[in-house]
Order: sequence, then C-alpha cells, then structure tokens
Amino acid sequence: MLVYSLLSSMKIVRILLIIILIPNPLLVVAQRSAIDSVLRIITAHKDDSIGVNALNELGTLYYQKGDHDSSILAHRKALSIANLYGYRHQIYDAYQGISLSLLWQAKYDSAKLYLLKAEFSAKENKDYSSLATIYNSLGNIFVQEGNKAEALKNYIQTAKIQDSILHDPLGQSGALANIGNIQYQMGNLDKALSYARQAQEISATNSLGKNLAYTSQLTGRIYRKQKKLDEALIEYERALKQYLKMGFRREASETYLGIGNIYFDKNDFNNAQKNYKVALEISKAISNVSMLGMTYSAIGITFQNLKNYQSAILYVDSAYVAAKKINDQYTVLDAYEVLSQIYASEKKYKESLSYFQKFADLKDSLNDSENKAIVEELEIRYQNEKKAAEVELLKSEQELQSVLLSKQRANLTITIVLLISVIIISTLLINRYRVMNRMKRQAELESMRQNIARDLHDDIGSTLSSINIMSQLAMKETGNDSLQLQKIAAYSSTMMESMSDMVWSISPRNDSLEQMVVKMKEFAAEILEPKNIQYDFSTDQTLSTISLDVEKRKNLFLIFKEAINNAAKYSEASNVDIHITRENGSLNMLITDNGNGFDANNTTAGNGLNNMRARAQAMKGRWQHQSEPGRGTSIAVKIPLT
Amino acid sequence: MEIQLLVFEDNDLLRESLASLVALSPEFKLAAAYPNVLHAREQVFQHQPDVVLMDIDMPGRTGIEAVKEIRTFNSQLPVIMLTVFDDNIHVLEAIKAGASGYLLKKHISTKLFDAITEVLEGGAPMSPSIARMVISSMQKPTENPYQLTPKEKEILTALSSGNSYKLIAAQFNNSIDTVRSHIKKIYEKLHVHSQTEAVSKAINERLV
Repeated sequence: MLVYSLLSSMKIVRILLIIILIPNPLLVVAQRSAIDSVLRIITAHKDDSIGVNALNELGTLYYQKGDHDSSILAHRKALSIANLYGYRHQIYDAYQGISLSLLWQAKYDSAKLYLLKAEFSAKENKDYSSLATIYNSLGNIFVQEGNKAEALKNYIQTAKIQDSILHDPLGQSGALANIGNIQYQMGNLDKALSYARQAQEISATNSLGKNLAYTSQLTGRIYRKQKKLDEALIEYERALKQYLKMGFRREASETYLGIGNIYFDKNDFNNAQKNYKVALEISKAISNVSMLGMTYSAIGITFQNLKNYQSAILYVDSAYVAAKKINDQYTVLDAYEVLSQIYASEKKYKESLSYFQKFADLKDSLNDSENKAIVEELEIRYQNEKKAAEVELLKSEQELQSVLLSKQRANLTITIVLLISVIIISTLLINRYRVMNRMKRQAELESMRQNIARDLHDDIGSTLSSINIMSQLAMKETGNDSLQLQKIAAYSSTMMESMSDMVWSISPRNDSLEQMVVKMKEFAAEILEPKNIQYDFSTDQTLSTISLDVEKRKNLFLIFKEAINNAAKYSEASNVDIHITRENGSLNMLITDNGNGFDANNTTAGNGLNNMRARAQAMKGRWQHQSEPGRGTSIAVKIPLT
Repeated sequence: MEIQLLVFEDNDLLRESLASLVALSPEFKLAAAYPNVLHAREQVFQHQPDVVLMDIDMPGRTGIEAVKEIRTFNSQLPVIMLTVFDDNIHVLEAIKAGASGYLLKKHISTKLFDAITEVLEGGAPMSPSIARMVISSMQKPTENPYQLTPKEKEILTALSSGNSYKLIAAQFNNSIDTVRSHIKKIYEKLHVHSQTEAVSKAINERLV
C-alpha cells in the first residue's frame, strides 16, 4: 500500500516538473514578457551595476503588477549587491522601491524608515527628481496617519523642488494636487479648488493621463464638499474613464467610491451601494488595505440610512477592524460615530453612549485647529518664498536694479511683520477654537445624554402605564378584586408618580422654593378638590428669593404630601389651611385641618407621623404636631435656611 | 353611536393596553391603532375618527409633524397628544401645531375617557408647566406674539404659579367654566400663531 502511494506521488511530481519546465504558452501574458526579459538580464549580469539596475527594474515591474512581496524581495537583492559595491544611485533606488511597496501594504512605519534613508542618499547625489518623489511619498504616509502638518511640510518641499529646480510639469501637477488635497481636508475649499484646477490644467496641457484623472478626481471631491453634486459627478466620470482606460485599478476603485458618495448625497442609496460594492471588490482583489476600511464604512453608513441595521453593523465593524489595523484614524472615527447612532436607533443606549464617548475622545486628539494654524503659516511662508524668488529674477534687469532692491527689502520687512502677527493671531485663535470646540462637544454629549434619557423615560412611562391599565382591566374582566392585582395597580401608579417627581426635581429650573410651591399647589388641588375639601394656600412674597438643595426639597415635599394625604384620607376634614412663611433665618410650613384628629391606635397614621418627624430631623429642623379628636390636626415644620 | 377613536402610539404594550381599555367601554370604539404616523393623513381619511390620540415622540416622524399635517385638511378634528411629562417643550410645540389638548400617560387608566369627553365638549386642559412655557415663549422675540388679552395673560400667570382652575375662578370671581373658556381661547391663539408662522415661513422660502 505504502509503496504504491509513494510511486503514484512520484508520478505526480514528475508530471508537475514536466509542466513547469516546458514553457506553457497559456501562461505567457504581455507583462510577463517584460519580467522575463529582465530576469534574463539578471541571470547574465550577476554582480555589476547593470544587474542591480535590472533587479530594481524587476522590483518596479512587480510593484506595477501589485505583487509587492516580490517587489520588495527584488529590491532587497538589489540593495545587498549595491551596498557591496557602493553603487550609490542604485542603493537609493532600492530604498525608494522598497518604501513604495511597503506603502501599498500599509506598513507605514517601515516605509517611512526606508524613505528617510532614501532621502539621505538622494540629497547626497543631488538627485532632485527622486527627492521630490520621496517627499511626496512621505507626505502620503503622514496623510494616512492623520498628521496633516507633517504631510503638508513634505508636499510643499515637493512643490518647491518641482517649481524651482525641476520645472517638471508632471511633478508640479502632482505636488499642486497634493497641496490641494490637504487644503480640501482642512476645509479651505476655495483654495483647494484653485490648486486642483491648476494641477488639472497642467495635466491637460501636457497630456499627463494619470494626473488628469487624479486631479479630476480631486476636483470632483471638492465639488462634492461644496454640494455641487452634478459638477462633481462629471469630474468623477472623467476620472473613472481615464483610469479604466489606463488599467489603474486602485484609482478606479477610489473613483467608484467617490461616485458612490455623490449618489449617497443625492439620497440615491441603491446606486450608491452599487458603486461602493464595485469599489469593495476591486480593493479586495488588489489587497488595498487602506481602501477596504473606507469602503466598508461607506457601505455600512448606506445600510444605516436604509435602516438595515444588522448589515450596517456588520460592515461598520469590518471598517473599524480594517482601519484600526493601519491606524487610519478618520475611518475609526467614522465607525465610532455610526455605531453610536445605530445602537441608539436600536435603543441599546449603553453601547451607544460608550461609542459616542470613544468618538468624542478621538475627535479631540485629532483636533484640526492646531494643524490648521501651522498649515496657514507654512503656506504663507511658501508663497512668500516664491514671491521672493520671482523678485530675484527681475533683479537681473539693469535699469530696475536699485529700485527693485529697495522694493525687495520693503517686501521682506512686511513679510516678516506679517508672519509674526499671523503667528500671534493664530495662537490666540487656536486657544479660542479649542475651548469652543470642547464646549461644543460637551454640549453635544449632554444633548445626546438627554435624548437617551428622554427615550428611556418614554419607554418606562409607557410600559408602567400599560401595566397599570392591564391590572385594572384584569380586575374588571374577571370581577376579581384580588389583592395582588390591586397592589400591581397601586405600585405601578406610585412608580409613575415617583418618576415624574424625580425628573421634575432634577431639572435645574425647579430648584427654587417658588417652583416647589407650584408643585405643592398642584398636588393639593389633585387630592383635595375631588373630595370637595376647601383649602387655602398662602405663601410669603419673599419665598421667591429662596433656593433649597435637593435633599431639603425632597424631604419638605414628602412631609407636605403625607400631611395632605392624611387630611384627605383619614381626618374627614372639610377645610385645610396651608401656610408657608419665612422668618429670619428659617422656613416655616404649617398645615392645619378641621378634621377628626389622629387616632392614637391607628398604626398607619402613626408610621406616617414618625416618617415626617424623621424627615424634619434630616433637614436639621423642628417638627411639631398637635392633634385632638374633634379639634383637628396641625403640623408645623421649621427648617433653617443656610 | 359610539365615539370612534384613532390611536397612534409606538410603544407596542401601551397600544395594546389602550385597545383593551377602549374595548371594555360601551361608549367608545377603537377604529384602528398604528405604531407610527408615516401615513397618518391617509389613515385619518380612511377611518374618519371622532377623536385622535397621538403619542408625541415617535420614530421616523413625530406627532408634532403629523398634527400639523392633519390641521392642513381638518381644523376641527380633536387631537389629544399622549406624553409622559408635561414640562416637555414638545407639548407646547404640539399645541402650537394644533393639538386640542394632551393627556399624561400616567393618567390614562384613570382619566382617558374624561379627557376625551372634555375635548369633545370644547375643553382644553392646561397645567402650570405648560402655562409657564407659554409665558417664557412670549418673552422673545416680540412682546405679545400670541396677541393675548390682559385677562388671558393674568389667567396664564395664575396657572403658572400652580393655582388650579378652582382657585383661579375664586381669585377672579368667575365660574370655572369661564376660566375654561379663557384657556380654550388661549389654545386657539397658540394654534393661530403657529399657522401665521407657517404662512410667513412659506413666503420667506418662496422669496428665497
């Protein structure tokens, strides 16, 4: 048995070897041939610079195919040989190549490392075009990590190099587009649009296909933010057509996402979902981790709007997981917010509040105002340096030389003064913005808490009312006055009263004695009027200035309730007098009725009296009770007002 | 002839309890009960109720919006709002939107039928909290946005300090019915205020 299986497996191995070694025409693809030719060069030039170049080239080819592991491998091989022989240019090419692939794999920290190594080499070699690309890549990483200030610094470096040294339209349009992107994220939409337009024009004039597509995408995004949805759609379609034509799948998926967003804005959720799903498929196929998070998030939010909460939660969870993996703070932020909303809609308040707090905390740490001021300052510096450079050019004209010199000095002075004042103003603005932001967020949190509280109360109140109704119906239907049913009716009723009282006493509007008197009058009317008991309620004018703390209010009110209830239920009185007055440093409440007085043997009444006494003592007040059969009852409470 | 009721309440338990409660009474009949007001207009047309009971806070569309809509085609149909608390600003908004009155949910088991009867007879309940809200909403932006007479203002103030209808009647030397009709007048002026607000808003929007 064993021998047989061994023989058959050997047979399989033999067959496989044959398949691999004989060139299979079905495996030859256009790209493959480029790789093949490079591989042949590599095998021919094992140790020289041509071989190393070829290895780097191989890395680039794999990168374009999206096979980043192979790309890194190839570049690493190039790096080791180049290091051995000191091929400086090739070393830095390899660094660049490795970092690019790491970037696509969202391994941002490693990518940064290699980029910084590459930067060092490029500076040594005075390789400005590479330097520009490096700064651009660094900028991209910082954007993904949410560090806009650093990102902009790098983009501006790129733009400077492009502008002053390279005069390369491709690089320049890319740099301008990146700055436009940052401006868009900072919310400076008009600036963003102007940068994006500039970049678009340069791309169109110079027939730069991919840049045209990218800048159209950016312009579309900006239009969307400005709510010009139809214009946005046109730009996106333009971008998509270009990307699909050139076979750029990642960018195409981004554009599908953008188009989906526009349909979302138009509330056309079905079309939005269609486009999102295409974007998702592509992202999965090319393992674009950073897009996955955003796309999941978009689909999740669309489901939320379609009120399909189960699917929404699934997708938003996936978004959160994906985004957390690559430290994409913005998508995590979105996920927290949406999950909080969904759980609130499903009345799962605990989860909702916990997600909202996570959202609030993260938002604070991503506070844009700090970045905003730094961005403004840097931008001004860049523009001023640019202007200074232009003035330098004019200087070369002899006739204007002296005039321009003095003009430049004046410009420089004004610039410095402006810069200083901008820094001062922006620092002040940052602080104010931060304080306002925090207050606004606290207000948001507070309003969210109140919404949750209100929904809770509505639920509880409605249900208690139902229990009360049903217990009464049960007693009527069965004709059964069972004690248990009576208790259910009574307790549910009491609970609703307590809830009302609780909510009333929490409200800050009601912490004055005056408001409590209002409540007392309502209560007295409710209890005494149905029994046709006449009553008189008199209060001092000065009471409006007094405010009581929560404990005192509660105790005083409960004493009052007890006294009125007694007068109504047990005393058979026809008249009740209530006086609430102020006397020096204390508050007096006097309740008298003309009823039967207290029966010493009545234990319920006895308990009530003890309760009242205890409450008065809790307020550090004095309690007095007088009662005589036939002469009525009087209850007096005196509490200190400190 | 039984009085036909139409109920809108999103809490399932309460909706069913209401149905059972009404079923036990020979004078009232439940035409239908719905958990939301998304199709309130059609449902009112379909059932032609005598009185509508409507919860204020409902998902998707609030009772306030539904009342506004009902008032656009029926200014007489009594609509009673159901609410847990009466010191909720939404109650005042509901009244301004055209509600005929309100009933606290904790009072349903004891006062439902009285409330319905009162509203059918033209009465309009008001509590100190609501009165206070009306008063505070009068401070801004104009002095007297609802065009209340001095007597009406006095009654409103007396209400807001907690006096019952009985006490107010005694205070002003009127009968309780007089007090009630004053309050009914105040209600109507709140309705009108919201209508004029609605009209001017529409004009503004067209101009924009």
